[in-house]
Amino acid sequence: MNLFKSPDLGNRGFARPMFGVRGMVPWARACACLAVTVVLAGNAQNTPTPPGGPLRMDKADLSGPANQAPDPNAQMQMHDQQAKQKDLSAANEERKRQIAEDSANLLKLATELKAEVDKTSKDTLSLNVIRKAGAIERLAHDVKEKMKLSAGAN
Amino acid sequence: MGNRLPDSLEQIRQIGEDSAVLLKLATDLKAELDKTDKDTLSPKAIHEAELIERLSHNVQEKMKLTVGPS
Repeated sequence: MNLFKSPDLGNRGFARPMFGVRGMVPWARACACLAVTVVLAGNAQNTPTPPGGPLRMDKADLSGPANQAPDPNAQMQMHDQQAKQKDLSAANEERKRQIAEDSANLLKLATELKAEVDKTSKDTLSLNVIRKAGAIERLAHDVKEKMKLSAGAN
Repeated sequence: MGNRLPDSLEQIRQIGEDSAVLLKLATDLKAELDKTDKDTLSPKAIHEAELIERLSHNVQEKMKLTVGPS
């Protein structure tokens, strides 16, 4: 079947399109235009829009915290905090050194006390034992308090 | 006088025992502190120091009582 011939026109020597608006517009071109229109309309509907409207790239947002100059007060506070932390850990180290020293002394005194008690009899009661026991008591108390402080600092 | 002598002897025996325990505790405490690294202090060490403190106080008091009556 010839699509470019109208049945009632007969054979006049030229063909006219069946769907032409004016002159010689082929129906295939019309279909192609329609398809392009449909595709473009679909794309326009599928483009995501960010919440709050489309993005504007003409003006940068410089008000964020990363772009602000550091606050001098905050910097000073941070330095103070770091210095305090340093002092605290130095004091803690010193305290631990003293604890180790005291515990060594404690062991020495306990050994001496035991030796003193072993040679003590009912006839030879030693005042040294009392002195040493008193020294051990004080030293053990100091060690305990220092250890509590160190444990609290940790 | 007849009663005091056995008491004194018993107290001296107790002091001997306490001082042996004291020595053991001091040895344990030293070992505990030696193996403890610089960032951790064990509650066990604190407890041992407390025991040493109490025990040495007891030894002191018992010895005073023993020295006093004789």
